[in-house]
Amino acid sequence: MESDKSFFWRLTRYYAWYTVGFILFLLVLAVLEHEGMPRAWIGYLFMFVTIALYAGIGVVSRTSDVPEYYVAGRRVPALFNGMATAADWISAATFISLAGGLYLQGFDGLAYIMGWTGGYCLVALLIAPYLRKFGQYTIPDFLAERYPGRYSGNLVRILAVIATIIISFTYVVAQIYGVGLITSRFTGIDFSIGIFLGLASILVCSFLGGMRAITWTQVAQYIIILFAYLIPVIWLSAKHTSVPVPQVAYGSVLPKLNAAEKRIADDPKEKEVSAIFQARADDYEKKLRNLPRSWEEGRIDAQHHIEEVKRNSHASLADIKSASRALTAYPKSAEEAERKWSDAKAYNIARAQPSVSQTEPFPGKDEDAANIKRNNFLALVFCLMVGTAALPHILMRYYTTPSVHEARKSVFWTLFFIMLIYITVPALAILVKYDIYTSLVGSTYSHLPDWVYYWANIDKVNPLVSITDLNHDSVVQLGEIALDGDIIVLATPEIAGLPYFISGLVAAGGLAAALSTADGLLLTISNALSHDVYYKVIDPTASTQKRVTISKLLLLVVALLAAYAASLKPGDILSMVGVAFSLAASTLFPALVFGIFWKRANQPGAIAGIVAGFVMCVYYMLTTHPAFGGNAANQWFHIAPISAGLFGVPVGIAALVIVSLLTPPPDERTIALIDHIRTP
Amino acid sequence: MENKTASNFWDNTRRLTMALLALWFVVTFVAVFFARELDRVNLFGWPLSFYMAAQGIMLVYLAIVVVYTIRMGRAERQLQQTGEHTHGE
Repeated sequence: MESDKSFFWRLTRYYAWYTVGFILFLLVLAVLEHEGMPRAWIGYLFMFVTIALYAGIGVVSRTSDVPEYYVAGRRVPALFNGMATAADWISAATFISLAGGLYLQGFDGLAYIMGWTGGYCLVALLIAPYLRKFGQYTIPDFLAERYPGRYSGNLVRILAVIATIIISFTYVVAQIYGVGLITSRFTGIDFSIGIFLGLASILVCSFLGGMRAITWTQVAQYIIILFAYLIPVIWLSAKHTSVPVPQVAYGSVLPKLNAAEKRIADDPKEKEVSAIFQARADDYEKKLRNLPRSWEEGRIDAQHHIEEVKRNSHASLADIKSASRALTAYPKSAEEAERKWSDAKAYNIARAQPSVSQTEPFPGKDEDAANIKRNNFLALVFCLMVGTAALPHILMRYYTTPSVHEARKSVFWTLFFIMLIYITVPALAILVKYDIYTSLVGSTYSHLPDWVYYWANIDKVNPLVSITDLNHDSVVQLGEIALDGDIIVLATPEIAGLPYFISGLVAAGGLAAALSTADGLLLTISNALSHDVYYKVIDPTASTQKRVTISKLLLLVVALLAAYAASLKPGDILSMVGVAFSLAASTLFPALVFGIFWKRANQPGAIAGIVAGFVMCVYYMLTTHPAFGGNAANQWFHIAPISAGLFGVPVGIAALVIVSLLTPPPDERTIALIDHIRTP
Repeated sequence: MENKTASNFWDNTRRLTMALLALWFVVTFVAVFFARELDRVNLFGWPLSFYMAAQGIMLVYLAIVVVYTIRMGRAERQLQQTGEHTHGE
């Protein structure tokens, strides 16, 4: 086998050529667009070329060898493993929604930026090098080996497998959902067809080559993600600051943005718009108070309205249609009316609020409200960080480096490559906000920019952007603009005045982000099932050939299940992605870290820790999350359900420590194993 | 002999880990806890707390990982050298 060094240079050469090829591809599309190729075709080309590329890498790296399939032969150089892990990490949510969250939530949105980078300190310091030294295939592998004892070692393994699957499955459904969203938004093809197209590329890749194919595809995907994220922001930065380094230059826009925020806050026209929303909210409030009478009256009114319109000989067909549509949309029962109207009231109250300042930490109407915001920010940061350090699909990647030292270096490269994107996110949010506050707000309705029309029509049910002249002054007020956070990234090329093929590039970037994460997650799930359940529990004598075949079959089944779940468009599962971090933190983190750093931790302790952390976390979510029938009134210290890990982690740790101390210490073999993983 | 160097190595590792974790904790939780107080400070036009949460703390995280990787790499080489002296591996 060739030496590590020449392998590294060979890879560098390949990916350098790949990057050059990709730039050429962009140039060709630029020329084609100039020559008048229609938008839809550019979208198709980006989709099919990139998907074919990923599938092609999968075909080239196909393998049935066990170490190659599970851990890419353990010879992925630190830099490339870092790049692959970064692509694994940067999910559809990061790529598309992170900047939007920052735009809409101001300072609060930074919790995600901090949480999703700081977690890598924990990965580097507490977990990755030790896992690499241990050198098996999965996370349950490590826990089972570290916690043998009275009960069969498989008990810990099965618990870890269950946790791994719950965490990874919710996450992968959200990624596949993201694939459907991106393909349908950019090419106009149906949501479910988009899902299965994306799925095809995921499957060709991971099915044929397992970890090996996924690793090399993820590196290629990272390069596309980087291009797609940076080019529009660099352009926007050059437009507003004449410095094409957005990460630094956006600082000069901040004071101007603050001035614009202040000007808008004092604008009497804005107050007019806000008053309109407040009046609507009050109206709903009144109706809610008079239920069920108000519901009956409203229904009779709507029926009367139709009859009136029909009687009126001047009424057009459109009027009649809209009147009957109003009646069909009218709540069917008083209960439904209560739910719908409460939502409408909350929506209007939210729209009536003046927009939040971008940079002020924890704005609140009084000290207590601000403190609650701060505590939630810290709790969320904590859960995201600890959760990061326990996500199986990320940790698994550190098995693939050639040595312990390379594993440490690889965490550095991971954080470095993640940071290239994350450090740009605030710049993007602020530059777009500045653009909207200064050129869209205050413009006239007859001169709205093209991107507003384009994106307002792309999704009719939940429009990404809607602007209505509420106070009929034909000037756009900030309060009249309703933006979906996702638009910030998707429309940046057009806001910056770039040609359409850059929008196609952004779509390809979003797709790469979703696919790379989905790849890693699917492999994690199918490995947990095939390696940990089938090979280690059901049939330990299975041949290597059989193990890999089983793994591939399971991958197929899990992928189809996930695609099916995503095609149902489950709103609740999407909100559970954040929750996956809390769950990972509460169940796996204590057992992993105490297993390495505390020799006294034993099997009963680990079992108690995993179960107690899980139960605590789930209990808190069920009682406080409205989607699971919980109620915000049950919150402890006003901590939001997404941060359930704040309670789950300490409970898990306490259970692990107390039960370990009450039961006999681990045997000598285990102690020897701990000493072994502690020495590189 | 080997056990002693190995346990030395582990003690050093643990000390380094604790120190860097303490730094991680302070920049993350203590700095954000006082974000409102830090907001009045300006750093080259950026409000300090916004800059720290948006970019600055991230750079500290990267520095933490860099320091850990370099120090551990050095300690590891030393351990291997002493190992070679005593065992002639």
